[in-house]
Amino acid sequence: MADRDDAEDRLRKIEAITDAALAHMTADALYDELLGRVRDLLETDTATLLLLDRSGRHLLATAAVGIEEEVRQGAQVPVGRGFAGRIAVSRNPLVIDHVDETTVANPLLWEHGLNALAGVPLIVAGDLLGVLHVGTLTPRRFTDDDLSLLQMVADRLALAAHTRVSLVERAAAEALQRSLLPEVLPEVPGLSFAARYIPGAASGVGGDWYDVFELPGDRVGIVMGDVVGHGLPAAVVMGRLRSALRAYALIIDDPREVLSMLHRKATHFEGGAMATVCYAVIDPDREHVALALAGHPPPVLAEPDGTVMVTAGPPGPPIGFPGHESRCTNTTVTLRPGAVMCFYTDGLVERRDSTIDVGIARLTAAVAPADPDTVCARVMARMIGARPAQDDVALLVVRRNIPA
Amino acid sequence: MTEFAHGDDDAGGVGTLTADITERDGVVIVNIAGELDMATVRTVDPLLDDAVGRGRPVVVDMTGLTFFSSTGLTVLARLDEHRRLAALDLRLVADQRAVILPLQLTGLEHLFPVHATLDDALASIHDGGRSG
Repeated sequence: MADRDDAEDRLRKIEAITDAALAHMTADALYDELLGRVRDLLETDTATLLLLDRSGRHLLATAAVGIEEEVRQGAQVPVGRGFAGRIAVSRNPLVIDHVDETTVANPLLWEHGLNALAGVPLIVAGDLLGVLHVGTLTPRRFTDDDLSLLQMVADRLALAAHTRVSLVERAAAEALQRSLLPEVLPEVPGLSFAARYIPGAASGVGGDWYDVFELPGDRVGIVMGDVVGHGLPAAVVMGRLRSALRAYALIIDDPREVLSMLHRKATHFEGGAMATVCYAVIDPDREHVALALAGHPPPVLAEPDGTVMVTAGPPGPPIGFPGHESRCTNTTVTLRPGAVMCFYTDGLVERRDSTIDVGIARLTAAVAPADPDTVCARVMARMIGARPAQDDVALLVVRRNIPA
Repeated sequence: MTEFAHGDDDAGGVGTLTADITERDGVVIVNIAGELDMATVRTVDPLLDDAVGRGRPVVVDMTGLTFFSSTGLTVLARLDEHRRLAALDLRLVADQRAVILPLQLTGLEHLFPVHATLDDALASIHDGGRSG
């Protein structure tokens, strides 16, 4: 019991600093503070935090006390190899009582003269984030209590690391997303535009994007896309696809061909990334819109007489869907003076309590041949209302102006 | 953050999903029911890995799904990859709009053999086995 009381007392010391510090310290300062505490409490000589890199293949020394050169030299351990690498794979605590090239991957550890090591995994919500280990210069038998205390500290570090990554990534994703959506839609003769974008309440920003650009020969390109996934990875893929699509649009006239090239680019360079995309080109007379869909819901057309319909033929598979050629087809839509076309992502029409055709029907009921900004406001009011959108919502409305 | 979302929390747009795996007549049947979204898709991944790793035909029964978000695309892409690279004999089962419409809208309905009932899917596998 005395041991347990002692362990609980030690844990309280860790908890005290963690809870107070989480709010006020930067994550790096918190890591150093917690590592210092765990080293003191367990009476070890070193404590090291290694975090999994983005590839998931390496553990990077992120913070260390007693062996600071690990961090300064950017030490990294392949997952599966060495002491920390084995913990990362097994996700179980590990203790070793001799440190040499047969038991650890990082030469700094034996060069430093470490004798015994105890390590535990950092896991949050089932995901491995990294490994925490402590080492002694003198022989040491780590007890189960030592390991459970180490695991408790690791759990707290994991939470701090996770929070930091989440906050940093969320901020980066928002900044990236904002920088990639047009600040002002272009002024194009014969057309007027309006758009809305709302990040998902549950997910933060995702990879929804829209784009409007002028093309050679007085044509206008319109893009509505939705990268599968959320957060920073989706925003990064979105940025790449957006640039690539613009580049192909500049040299290829045919929307179907542009999407086909985009698909090739995505499957070759962005393995695993997928996006649904609608790409439309409006001709110089503003009379015709050629459009192609890659896994994306079809635009809605409101005719000047108030007739509203879903446009576009069958979609091809999403951009980046592996193992298949792009199979998009072109559809040509006639845009009469005063007509409105409404492009959107599935967040606008998807609901958990009804099927997507119901959402699209509600959208067609909300679209009218009016000023684009009015249409956007009306659609958002009818489709989103007062409840926060779960998923990202992007909406782009284009109108063919009525000649004065 | 979504990483904290678990399938058993029905608040805040996080759905519930149940998934299990059985075998019948040499066919692996993965049954997925509930809402397939960003948070719950993690429940499915290990089961599908298990299923496709058994070296037998796989039927993914989705008739119990009430919501199929675009996250479902990643599940379909993985299944399709197994089908192409490991010559997996794969059938999907779904007859409800909650699944069929997303398959149509994403242009994937022709890439997968979709059957209306589990019995249809099983029969097609056994027919295929005899004729092949």
